[in-house]
Formats: sequence, C-alpha cells, structure tokens
Amino acid sequence: MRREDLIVAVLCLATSAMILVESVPYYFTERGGLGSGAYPCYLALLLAICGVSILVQWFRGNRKTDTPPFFPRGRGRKLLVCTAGSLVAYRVGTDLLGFTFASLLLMIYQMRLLGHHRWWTTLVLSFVFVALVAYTFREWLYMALPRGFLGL
Amino acid sequence: MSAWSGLLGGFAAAVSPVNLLWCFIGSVLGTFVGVLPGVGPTPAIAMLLPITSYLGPVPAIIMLAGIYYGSQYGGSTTSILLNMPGEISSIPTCLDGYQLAKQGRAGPALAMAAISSFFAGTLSLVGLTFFAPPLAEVALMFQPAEYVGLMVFALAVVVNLSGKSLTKGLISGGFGLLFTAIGMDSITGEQRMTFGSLEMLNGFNFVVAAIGLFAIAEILVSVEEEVGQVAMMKIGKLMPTLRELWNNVGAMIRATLLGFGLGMLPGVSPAVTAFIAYDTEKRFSKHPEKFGTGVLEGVTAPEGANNSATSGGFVPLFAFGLPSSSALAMLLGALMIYGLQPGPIMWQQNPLFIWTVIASMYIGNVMLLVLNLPLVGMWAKVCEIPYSILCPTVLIFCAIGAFSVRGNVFDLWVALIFGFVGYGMKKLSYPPAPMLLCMILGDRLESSFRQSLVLSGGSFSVFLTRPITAVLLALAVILTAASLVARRRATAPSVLVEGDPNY
Amino acid sequence: MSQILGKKWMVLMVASALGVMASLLAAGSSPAAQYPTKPITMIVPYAAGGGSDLSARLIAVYAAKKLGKPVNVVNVVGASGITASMQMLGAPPDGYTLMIDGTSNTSFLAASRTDLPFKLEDRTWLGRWIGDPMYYMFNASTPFKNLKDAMDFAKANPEQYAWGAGAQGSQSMFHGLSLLNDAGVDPMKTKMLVFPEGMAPSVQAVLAGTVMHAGAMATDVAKLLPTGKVKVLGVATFERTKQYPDVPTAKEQGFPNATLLSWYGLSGPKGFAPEAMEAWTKLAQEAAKDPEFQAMAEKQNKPLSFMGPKEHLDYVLNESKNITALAVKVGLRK
Repeated sequence: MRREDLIVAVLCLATSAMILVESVPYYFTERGGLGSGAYPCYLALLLAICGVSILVQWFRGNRKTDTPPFFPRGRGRKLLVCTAGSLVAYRVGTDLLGFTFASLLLMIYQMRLLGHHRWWTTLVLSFVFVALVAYTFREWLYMALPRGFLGL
Repeated sequence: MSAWSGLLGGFAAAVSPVNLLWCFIGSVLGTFVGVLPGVGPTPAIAMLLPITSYLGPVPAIIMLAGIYYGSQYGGSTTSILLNMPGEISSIPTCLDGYQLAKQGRAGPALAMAAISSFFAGTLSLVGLTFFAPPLAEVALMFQPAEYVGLMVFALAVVVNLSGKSLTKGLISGGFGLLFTAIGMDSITGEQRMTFGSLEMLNGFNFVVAAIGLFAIAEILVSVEEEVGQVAMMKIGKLMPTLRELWNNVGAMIRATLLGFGLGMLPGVSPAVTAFIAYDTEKRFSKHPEKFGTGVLEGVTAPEGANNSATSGGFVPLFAFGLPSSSALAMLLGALMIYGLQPGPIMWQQNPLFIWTVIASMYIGNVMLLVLNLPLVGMWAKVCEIPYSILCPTVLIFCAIGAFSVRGNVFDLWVALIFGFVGYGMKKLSYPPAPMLLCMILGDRLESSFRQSLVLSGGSFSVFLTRPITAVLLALAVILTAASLVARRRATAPSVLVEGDPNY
Repeated sequence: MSQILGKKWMVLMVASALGVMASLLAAGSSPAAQYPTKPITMIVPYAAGGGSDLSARLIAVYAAKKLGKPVNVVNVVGASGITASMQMLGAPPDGYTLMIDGTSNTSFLAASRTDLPFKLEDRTWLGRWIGDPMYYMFNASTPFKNLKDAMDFAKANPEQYAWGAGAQGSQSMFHGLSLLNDAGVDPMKTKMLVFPEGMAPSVQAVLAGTVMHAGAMATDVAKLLPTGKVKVLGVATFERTKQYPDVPTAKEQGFPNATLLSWYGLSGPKGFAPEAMEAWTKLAQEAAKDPEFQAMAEKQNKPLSFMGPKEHLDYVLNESKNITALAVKVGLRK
C-alpha cells in the first residue's frame, strides 16, 4: 500500500458514512418491503470493509514508501496539467463556442503542445479533420452536437 | 420448411448485388464504429434508422445487422494498439492485447482477434440457424431470480480481474455498483444521492464512464509519460503461428458456446459475455497467472464471445420478437417501421426474410474476416501517426461518442470526470475493469433482486429453491473460492512482470 | 507533413474545409421566408425503437414529405423524459424544435412526481396524432376466462396476484392500477412488479409466466397472439378496437374507469411561432384524411386518433387530474 492508498481508504470510509446517513431512513418502504435505501446500505458496508482492510494492511507493515511521486516532476507534469486543463476548457468551450469551434481549438492547442508542429501543418490538419467530422456527424447523421453562440 | 432448405433459399436471395452491397456497407460501417472509442452500434443504428426509409426492408436490415456484428470485429483494434477499447465488449481484450502489442506482437493479436471473431461468429450462426426456436424457450425460463443468480455469477469474475490486490479490486467494483445506484431509483421513483441536481437524476451511463475510464485516462497517462509515438513497438509479424492457432481452438470453441448461450438472455450484453469468457479461459488455462501479461488466449476468448453473443441475441429476436439488447431493440424498431413483426407470424408468412438475413450474416462474417486481416498491416501505419495528432482526434471522437449515447451534454462532464478518476486509478494500481463490469451489471442486479423479493413475497429462500438460480449461485461461490485459493498459491515475485500490467 | 502533400493540395484542402465550415454556419441561421426553411428537429424523450420513437418517426417521415424539409428525429434519453422536456422547453420557439409527447412524459409523469420542473400547460400543444389502446395480456395457461375472473381472484388473494407494471409511473403501471382500483383491490397489496426498462420486459414476463398480466400495445399483441402463448382478456378503451373486435373492453366487463389511451402528440416551446403552429395543425388535418398516411400507420399497427391543439390540451389536463387522483388514492404519490 502506498501513502496515497490511505487517502483512498479514508475516501471509502467517508463515502460509506455518507451513504449510510442518506440511505438508512429509506431502508424499508412504508409497507415493509425493501426500499430504495437497502441496496446502497450494503454497498456502504462493502466499501467500509475495504477501507478498513487497507488501513489494516498498512498498519501490518504492508507499506511501500519508496514509490515514485504521484504526479511526476518535470516536463511530464507540465504536459499532464496542460492536457487536463485543455480538456476542461474543451468541455466548457463546447457549450460556449459550439462543438466545431471548440474541437478546432482543442486540436490546434494539443498539436502544438504535444508535437510542436509548424503552424501551417497544425492549422490545415485541424481544419480539415474537424470539418470532416462535424460534417459527417451533424449533416449526414443528424447528430445534434451543441452549437455555441457563433452557431458553430 | 426445413432449416436447410430455408437457409439455401436465404443464400440465393442474399447474394443479390443489392443485398451484398448493403451487407458490405454495414460491415464496414460496423467495423469503423467499433474501432472508434465511444461510438457503438447502438447510436450508429439509431443514426442510420432514417436511411431505412429509402431502402427496402431486406437491404436495410442486412445493413443494420452488419453494423451490429461488424462492430464486434472492430472493437479489438484500439484495445490492442492503444489500450483504449473501441467497444465495451473489448475491454477484456485490452488486458492481454495491449501487453502483446508492447511485446511487438500486435500483429498476431489483431489477427487472432479477427480469426476468433470469425470462428465464433460463424459457428454461433449455425446455432441460430438450427436451434433458434427451442433455445428461445430456454431463454424464457429466466425470471428475475435467475437473473440475480446470473449477475452474481458474473460478479464472481471480478475477483479474477482484481490483479494483485483483492481489496483494490473490490473497491473498484464497489464504487462501480455505487455509481449505478446514483440517480432515480427505478422502482420507487425516489432520488438517490442526486443532491437535488436534475442532471444527476439520470445517473451515470456505463458507456460514458468507459470512455472516461479507459480512453481519456489512457491519454492522460500517456501524455504524462511523454509518449512520442504509439509505435514504440514494432508490429513485427502479422499473423500468429500455426501452433498458436491450434492452441487457441479450444478457447475459440469455449468462447463460442459461452457467448451464444449468454447472448440469448435479455439484458446480457456482449460486454458481459466477453468478461465472463475471459475469466473462464483463465480458469481453463494451464498458466492462469500469465493472463494479463500477454497471453493470446486472453484476446481470443473475449473477442470470440462478443461475436457469438451477437448471434445469440438474434435468437429471441427472431423467435419472439424480443430484443435482448438496446442495439437489437433498435433493429426491431427498424423492422417495425416496415410493418414487419419478427416472431412466429414471420416464420409462417415470410420465412424467406429471416433466412435471407441469416444467410447474409454468414456472408458478412466472411466479408469482415477478409476486411480485417489485411487491415492489420494498415493499422501498423496508423500507429506511426504521432501521438500529438492522435491524441486530439481520439478525444474528439470520445466527445462525440459520449454525447451520442443519450444526446445529453452533461455526459461530456461525466466522461471527463471519469477520465480523471481513471487516471488516478491507473497511477495507484486500481483495476478499472471491475468498476465497469459492476456498472454494467449493477442496475439489473438490483432490480432483479427486488423483483425476486416482490414475487416471493419477501422470502429470501427463493434464491435457494429455484434450480437454475441455486446452481448459478453455487457456481459463483465455488468459482470465487477457487480464485481466492489460486491467489494464495500464486508465487509472488517471479511471475510479476515489471510494471505489473495486471495491476 | 508538407513532404507528403504539396502546397497546392494543402491550399485546396483548406479552401474546402473553410467551405464546409461556412456551410455549417449557414445551416445555423435562418432568414424569415416560408416555413419551413431549414430542417426541423423532433425530440423523442425515450430510446430509439420504443413506442414514442416509432410514432415520432412515422409522423416525421410524413411531415418531411409534405413540408419539403427534413424532419430529424433526435433521441434525448433520461430521467423519465424530464431531460428531453427541459431541452425542448429551452429551445428557441422559432418552430424548428418540437417534441413528441406521450402519456408517460406528460400527464402520467405529472401524476406520479411532485417535483417536476415544469407545468404541463407551459408549452405549445400542437395536437394529437395517435391513440394506441392498451390491452390486458395474460399468459395462455391462465385459469381466468375474463377480466372479471382475474379481478375476483385478485380481490380475494391480492398477495398472490403478480402483474407486470412496466416502468415506475408509466402508462403500463397506471393501466394495471386503474383496473385493480376499479375492482376494489388495493394495488399496493398485490405483487406489482416494476420493470425499469419499460413495457417490453413486462410483456416478456407474461410470456415466461412470471406474472399474471401486463399491459401491451397492439404491436405486442400482433406479435405474440399467434404464438399461442398469450391470451388477451380485455382492452382499456371506450369501444372495441377495429383490429381486435373480439376483445371485450374493460368497460363492458364492469370496469368503466379502466380506460387508458396511449396517445402520442406533438408540442413545442412556449410562444411557438404562429406560422409553424399553423403548418403543423394543417398537416395533422391533412394526415387525418390522407389514405397514404393511414396505410403507413396501419402497417405499423399505430391506430390514428386526431385531436386539435385546444381540445387535446383539455384532454391531457383532465387525464392528469384523474390519474393524479388515482395515484394519491393508491399511495403512489405522496
């Protein structure tokens, strides 16, 4: 078990407690049958046992303290953060700017971030790919992909 | 009309140029849809339903059926090459397929997936041809209690997918079950853990979660490791050796039977059968501990099973008009648009239609084998595309895929969040497969459980007194016990490969 | 990449991509000319292949032909139809977004849930097209000869009477509830089996013998009656149906309140453009007289039942009131 697993153990126990609080009142229906809270209660129990199991394993000495850090240092971390950030921006952008435009921006950004392609290549590939994809799914297959305020 | 004469008549009709063309189109589209992570046969069939108004019923159904079983051919490609499943039913394929690819054996893996799909697909069609009506009756015997037994049996598979730490596997599975409980309780209508949010009322859809857990998470991990190109591995030889082929025959036969039998039951998707087949193969193997490090049978079994499950699904559809999965429900819808009612009337009044479709499925499988084997070489080229281009394109397809499941923009957030969760899971060695399997089974498990109790008047003994249920539950217990014993016995250090791919 | 493609090709590709983008942009805007000037979106609150979906497609194909522009059916699944309703209500009322309505996502939904984020009246009702009666389907080996026998049994032994109710709050559930209620049986004492996936598995349960009866549509009856595995003991309408004139109505058998029409109609956001509303109303009137449309509907086993917008709204509100009362009485709605 790593140090981070302890966090998971705490998470399990916390989730378990939260579920129990929410679900125990609904365990039975008014008529006495099993209500909507029964199943979550059992799940909460399972998660609690697992959380405890991790803690038990940790304190029994099954621990690894020489593992690499969770988030890597250096360039890898920068790439990770930027990529993850671009995904969040993409999601928000899909609502604001519409699917087509947001996809375009995503592709341009990632091609530059991950591959340092020349601007010409980046723009051409992005335009062509996104246009093709949007056209196929929007016009031929009538998929109602979100349109932003630009109508794209 | 005997099955033989019907089938021959069907072939005669199926080889007409129009039908062949649409069979081909369906197969190609299906493969394409299967390769794309996130977009599956269900949304594809839904999107193409309008086209059916322009075609006659026969070519339309041939095409839509082609999409359905074709998608199970394509799903393995990205699973093996990118560790991203193109279809949920190809998730088990990732486990060994990607390892094989890392060892430079992507070619044989891809080829074996195609061969196994063809073998299982064709053989199961024989079952469909000759044994459909009596088998459909068996499928009817499955009532809620039997489903509970089946779901619990499937859950026993989780233990084997857990890798090194059983606790981690159980946590993964436990959260998976929990995620299915979030949303509107389908039986009482109450809101569970939705925090008052309207979007959460829908709960999480497992396809969307799979996109996040497998595709997006994989991208995040790869970006972090500064993967420049996917083809850090050479494709090498393109086909498995004859010896390997021979060794896999047993796996293919087992996968066919398992997939066909389970695929017939409503609610058991090709995905679930693929997981069970993988697990079963692991138990039958002489070297179970090698599964997850790059064993060819680990690709053969799930890929064969998911194809034979599609044929199995057609059994209740043709016999009674009852669809056993959402893709088939849509196919049924397409039939109904033409005013065709699959079922006994169709067998009596228009058997040629059914035989033509079945015959075209045989043809389709051949087409797909012919399509997919040479494509292995092409995929090698695709792997040479730099990751910087592949990454955004895959992400865009993931967005489309996530959106296509329910037409819901919120699902894009769900996929993203599951992506981050999946990233964390990969870093900390928590296996994502149990989480997904539990998300697929969770709803049905709970509703069947509660239905059984309603039927039995609250008595739990129903699970022990009904024969099929009792057998399934007993099997689940035995298999779980066997897995636990096997884990104890597995010698630790010498078997683990660096990086412990099986988590 | 420029060593693979010459500069000329690149220019060509960019130009064509820009052209495609422009056409996508144009598809979004609309000058005001004769309705419709661009494709129309029809939202379906349930998965493709289901009852609403097929009704929507039937109407959409006809409308596309008559109006001259494509009518695209889009499935927006979730939360018993609430998601789709919210999406429709939030769409611009320019006449290019509408939704197919059925009992399950309007009157019955309002009856079974107290937390709906919208009111039934807050939309533009465009009238009713389809009226599908629901049948009471029993397993062939059932000892009951008619609905009365079945209800007598249920009254005497409610805890032994298992029936399929489809999804929570669905028309299938109310179909059974209204019958039991009329017979004086407390439905909560019976074995009401809820099938979250909808009517299809509850019909399958009848086939398998798990339940005594379930609600079924004409298409299910057409499919399964020839198997000899099911019997239809009643239909929940005011008059006997044309397709199955031998099936007595529930009313005839002494259950006058068990009348349930599974209707399908169209609606649009509040303030629906008047020329669009006129176009659709006229379309419905034409369809009612058009033999081609009637043939199409008959092929799909979808009985037609047209009603104008105002009349239909009154019907729906009335139905909602009745079903709400039933839901409260039966204990389904708090």
